[in-house]
Amino acid sequence: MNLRRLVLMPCIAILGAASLSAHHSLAAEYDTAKPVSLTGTLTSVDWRNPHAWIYIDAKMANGSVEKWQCELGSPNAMARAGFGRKSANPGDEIILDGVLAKDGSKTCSTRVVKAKDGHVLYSQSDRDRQAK
Amino acid sequence: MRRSLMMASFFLAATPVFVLAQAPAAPAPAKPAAGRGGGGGGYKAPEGPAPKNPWGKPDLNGVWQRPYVPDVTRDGGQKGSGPLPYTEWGKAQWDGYHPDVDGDYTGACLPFGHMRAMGSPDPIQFIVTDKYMALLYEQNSWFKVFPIDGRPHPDKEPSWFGDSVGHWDGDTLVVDTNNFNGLTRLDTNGHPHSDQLHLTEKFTRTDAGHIAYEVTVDDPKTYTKPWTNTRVFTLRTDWEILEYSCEENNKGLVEGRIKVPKYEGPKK
Repeated sequence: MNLRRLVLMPCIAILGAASLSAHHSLAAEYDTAKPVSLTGTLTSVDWRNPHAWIYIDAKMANGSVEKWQCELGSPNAMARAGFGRKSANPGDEIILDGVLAKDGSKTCSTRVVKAKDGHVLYSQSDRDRQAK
Repeated sequence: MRRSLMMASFFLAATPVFVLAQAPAAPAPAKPAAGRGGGGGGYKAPEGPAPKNPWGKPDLNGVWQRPYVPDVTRDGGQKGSGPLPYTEWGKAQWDGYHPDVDGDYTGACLPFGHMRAMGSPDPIQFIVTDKYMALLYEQNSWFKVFPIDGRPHPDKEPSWFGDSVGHWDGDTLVVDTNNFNGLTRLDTNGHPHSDQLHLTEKFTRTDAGHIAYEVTVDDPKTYTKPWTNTRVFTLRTDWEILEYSCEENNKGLVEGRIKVPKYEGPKK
């Protein structure tokens, strides 16, 4: 695992990682104790169930570029939360916050998708906050 | 260990973040949701008294938003059961559940079973006539149809979603479900049940916008006494049920991060 540096971020708003993966236990696939933040260029979004996937050429701290894949929520739930097919496009500079896969691959489970300026495009907790 | 991992997911605020690139700027507030169906962006449920069907019963028809219940014991979007009264057999099923090692049947897109599907975050549509109720779960595009005219359970083979019959108790629809195959779990966290599971669900339309939902779990092989969850469903006049194919892009299983679950088949 290429973990370049360790930074404390006291205020990451990550709510209910378990809720991302209703069709199976998140903890079986991801290490919820290992949050990750990736910045880079979006290359594609695989908009299919059970969960969509987002692919990114991530800019690493040492200047290299690595191809990462990160799991999103179900396309249906994300669309209802305001994040649809056209919300992020290939070539966009984005930031993905999530948790790392347990198998050590360049894979994460996404909690928050942000634009380059930090504007939140999608947050898993949006869905969790929906009307009671 | 599994439970502590799940709990840890709620308390990541103070944990180290492994930053593979530069640290991002502080996130801006989430924009109002404006996507298909409106999400949390200002939707307001209908107000007023509960409508009735032509045959005089409360109208349960509609697309309903439900709280996601990954853990039946906990409050949060619902009133949970608290600590469960396990039998020795039930405790062994709970202690022996390790989806990270053994896989979980839902990771292979096998049917959730009714109670776990009722705790799914995806909406559900109810279609109700004077004689039948149909549940259209968006989760994996499952459905279930059963009579609600008071007839008794038929003699059927056990199944993933069990056999349901319903009747009206005043303005509350009571649905009784048994004859489960015993191959499912009650929630994402894996709380167990046996093929002796018996569910009693009560649906009460409290007003134009909401249903009060109560489910009681009675499974003498797994629990020493019945226990209950209570939830509120919200009518979503702005939503439709969408297609959901679990098998289509199940990368976690295909790429080996999810273990292929052991499937023993129905008990002979």
